[in-house]
Amino acid sequence: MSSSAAFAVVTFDSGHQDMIHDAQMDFLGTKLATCSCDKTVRVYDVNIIDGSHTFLAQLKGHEGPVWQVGWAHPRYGTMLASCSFDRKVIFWKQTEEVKSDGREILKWNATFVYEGHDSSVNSVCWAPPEWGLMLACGSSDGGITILSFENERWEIRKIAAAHMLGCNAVSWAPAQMPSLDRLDKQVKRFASGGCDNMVKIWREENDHFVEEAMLEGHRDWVRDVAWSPSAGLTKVKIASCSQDRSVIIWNNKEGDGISFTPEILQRFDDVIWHVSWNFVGDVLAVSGGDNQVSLWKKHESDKWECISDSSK
Amino acid sequence: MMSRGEGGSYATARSMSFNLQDGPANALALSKDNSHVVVAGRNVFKILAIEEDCFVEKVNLRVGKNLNLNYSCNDVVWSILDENLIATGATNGAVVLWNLSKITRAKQEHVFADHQRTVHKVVFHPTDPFMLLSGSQDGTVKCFDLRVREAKLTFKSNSESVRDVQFLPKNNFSFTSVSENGSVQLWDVRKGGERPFLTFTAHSGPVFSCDWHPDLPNTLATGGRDRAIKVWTVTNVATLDHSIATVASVGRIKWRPSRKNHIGSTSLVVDASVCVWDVRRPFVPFAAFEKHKDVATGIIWKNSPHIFLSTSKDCTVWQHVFKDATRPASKAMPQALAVNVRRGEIAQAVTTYQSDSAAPPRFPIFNRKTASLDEQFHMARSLFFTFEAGRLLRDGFRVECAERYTLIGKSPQELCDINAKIALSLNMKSVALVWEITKLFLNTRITEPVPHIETTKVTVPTPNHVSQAPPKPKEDNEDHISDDDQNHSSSELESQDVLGEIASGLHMTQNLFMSAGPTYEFQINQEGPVLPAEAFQHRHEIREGSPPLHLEDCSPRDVDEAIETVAVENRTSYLKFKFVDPVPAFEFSESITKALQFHAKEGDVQTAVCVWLVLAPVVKLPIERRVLEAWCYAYIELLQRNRLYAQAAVVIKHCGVLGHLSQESTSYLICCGKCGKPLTQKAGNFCDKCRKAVARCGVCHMTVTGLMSWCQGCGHGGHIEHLRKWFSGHKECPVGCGHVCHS
Repeated sequence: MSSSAAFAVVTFDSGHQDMIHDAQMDFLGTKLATCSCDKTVRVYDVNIIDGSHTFLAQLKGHEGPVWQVGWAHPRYGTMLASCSFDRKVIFWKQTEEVKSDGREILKWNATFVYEGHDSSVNSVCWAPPEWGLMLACGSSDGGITILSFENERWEIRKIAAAHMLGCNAVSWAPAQMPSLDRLDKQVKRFASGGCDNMVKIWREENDHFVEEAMLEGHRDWVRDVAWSPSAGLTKVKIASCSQDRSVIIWNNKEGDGISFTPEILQRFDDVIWHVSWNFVGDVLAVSGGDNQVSLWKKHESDKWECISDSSK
Repeated sequence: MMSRGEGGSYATARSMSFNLQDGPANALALSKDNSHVVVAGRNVFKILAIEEDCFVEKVNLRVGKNLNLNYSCNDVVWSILDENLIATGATNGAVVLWNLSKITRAKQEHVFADHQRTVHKVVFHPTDPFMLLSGSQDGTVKCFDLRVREAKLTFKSNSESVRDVQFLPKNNFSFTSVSENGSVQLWDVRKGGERPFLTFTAHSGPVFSCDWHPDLPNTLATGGRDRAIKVWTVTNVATLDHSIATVASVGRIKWRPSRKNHIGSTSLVVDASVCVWDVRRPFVPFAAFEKHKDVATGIIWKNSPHIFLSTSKDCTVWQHVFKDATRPASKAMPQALAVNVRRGEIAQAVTTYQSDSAAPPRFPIFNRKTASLDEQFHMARSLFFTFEAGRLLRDGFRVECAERYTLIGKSPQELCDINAKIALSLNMKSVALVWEITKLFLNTRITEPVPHIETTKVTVPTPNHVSQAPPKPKEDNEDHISDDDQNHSSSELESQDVLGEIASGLHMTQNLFMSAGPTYEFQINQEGPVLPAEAFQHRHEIREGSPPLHLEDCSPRDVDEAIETVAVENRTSYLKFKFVDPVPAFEFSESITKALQFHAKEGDVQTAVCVWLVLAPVVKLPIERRVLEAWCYAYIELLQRNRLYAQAAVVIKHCGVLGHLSQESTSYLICCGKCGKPLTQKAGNFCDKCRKAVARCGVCHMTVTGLMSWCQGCGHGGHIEHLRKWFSGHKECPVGCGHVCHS
């Protein structure tokens, strides 16, 4: 099979010994982290000019397959969170150490390990940097934990039984949401998807996170949720994909953050594993069980159209 | 795949449990016909019948007057050959025989008190009904002859403690023992207890369990505290074939019957689940059974690869059925997708199920039909590649623009001009047009107060009307315009929709300002007030073409009348202009706002923010503050993502709505003036190290919180007012150091 002109494909050896479950680019697009079933996280440097990858570090510390990784905003230093089957979330921090001979070496340390879940932790997602160092993680035990770094220690807030049978994905809303929050007060929100086929929206209220909306529409496990970035857009959108082979765009037409109308992108031929927005939130990348990536854009006609497909 | 008789009862078997109530269990054993299970622990010793859908307690062996430590079982085994014979290893070192055929309630038959310490394991010989082995904490393995009821042989291991013993399958004379120092030893019963015929170190740390593969010859699995299950081929030497990395220390392991590569395991600590692994997939269990609330202590397969029993510290016995297992690998995300905003690149990792790694195709289509799911399981590998989709993902933001745009420091008109040229040089026609029309707007706006200048705007026609016009004066001009129009229609259809009437004007303006050839111009107001030089330059250039003449030509009547009349004449009689009234400047600002909103909606916050920034000093566009904030935030983030910090700082400074951002990441440290130690927030103006308030006034001895002045010579100082007062009457330092500060 050949690749289209839009997709210049570069294959590279990840060095992992087993399946790769997640890959994430950092904010500046210069670092790539991958995590694998082989219990390790690997970090690469991405050359911004030619896109080549240089291996930087292998992070060992998990005792089970690592499901997801997430980069913190660079204003908090080079920091990475990873979650694993071993029920842990590990926060890795890169520090520079100057050797006696003047060489600088980069070290990765596990600065904090969160072990508050009773089952595999499936998803981690950093909050917008405006909220400080804050992270949400969802677990197979059905709970979601919000960890925030305040006063030199990690504060833990837990939502028990957020999703029956387990939570698969979490995604934070951007700090700036033009159509919501007409008041000056900014509200912290995130969306989660789980094995109960639901997408749920959570909002911070009096130091707790409460369920704000429950979006029904999928008929099988929700595998990924992606809240669209706000850049210049006026409507809140959430994309979710599921094992029922569909991708749903949830539009908040009212702008109230509660009433979302589902819009089915398409029913695909295979399970859809990932959805991801581009920076401005007008292009959605979808990757599914057929190992293809397709890009979708909403046109003036109000319909989502596939603008590119890696299989073509 | 192996296919053998796999427990006919599998279809009907179901997961079920039994609560032992009396306490945690340490071990379990099945009767020969698999109809009963014996469960043993410190305080529990029961025989349960395995019914179709439940366990039924048949015998409680913990009966009798003196329940001594002999009843406290560490391990239990049911004789394969004599269904009435059970042996247990007790925590006090006793190996106890139990005879179920006894008529009395107490079934205890015999106690071997040969071991000094806890017995960890007892095992019957597979073919010899009278041979029993036991491994103990005292570091020995003893072989009992049940006929003479005595320990016939003692095997002294090289360690303090033997954790597991097992006879080799299909070999009547040899057994293995594993011990706490990490070694595995193979012994020959016939050679007596002198020395093992093979010793090798299997784990770093204690080995807790071993199991010979029932079907594969010479294949031994060991599990240790080092969180590994290792599979060995043992001949004259031991070679490591596989190593499985488990979540916690391995307690018990047991090969899955009729399967070549599957092995069940329990954890000693932490993990309550029972896992079945494929030895070729060392990091993720093939199946997990998560029924227990506490760690499982024993597992045994019920003569079928699909059913097994386990017991646990949570005081329960479970029968597990494979169809109820969770498959961690199936839950796992088999793909990774990362979008690189900066490079407009997508990285994707996909799982392939191809066993031959030689030259995998780029987009592998794995053949689902040839390999069963079970077989696929171990072949999973990920391919990782990246591909560019730059144009598609990055649409709307141009690094070059961000770097080259000038947003401040010149008059808005000049800035528009500069930026339009930059956009044009980057082949961004629609953006260039926005800049151009912004400039046009600025020009008109500045001259707005003068009434007849407004006709400039009137005379901007919509292209379609132009092309419909009779080709009287200059055909080539009109063709040129309509061509141009078509070009733009194809390239900027979308923007045209939104820009509406203005957009149509845009093309005209592009002609006006961009093309060198002769162009239309409809209105000339020679008597107009002084316009900004720049605007005039353009007009002059353009006027050289012909328009004034042309206009005059086509409106033969009343040329000398008011300019307005001319314009109206033009429109109605000849060029069919739609505009009747002069477009007020406000309309323009609204249109520009619309254009910016359109661009922002299309994801191009760059244009929106930059145009707005240029206009900001002279005109207030009707854009809501929070919308503006969102645009600015987005643009600033884009700039920061691309490490264009200087440009981001410009936006932050001049956007006027996000001023607080420039203060956000600024921090300053206050240090003690004496020792240089940074002051903590809590202590305020008190230095921890000097144990003194910092910055004290030499006159009043209070801490100076506001302006402070000090002598460059002696370093003493204080409140400015106090010092001024002091030095009005003194020359020496107020502290008394003797320094003459005021000379």
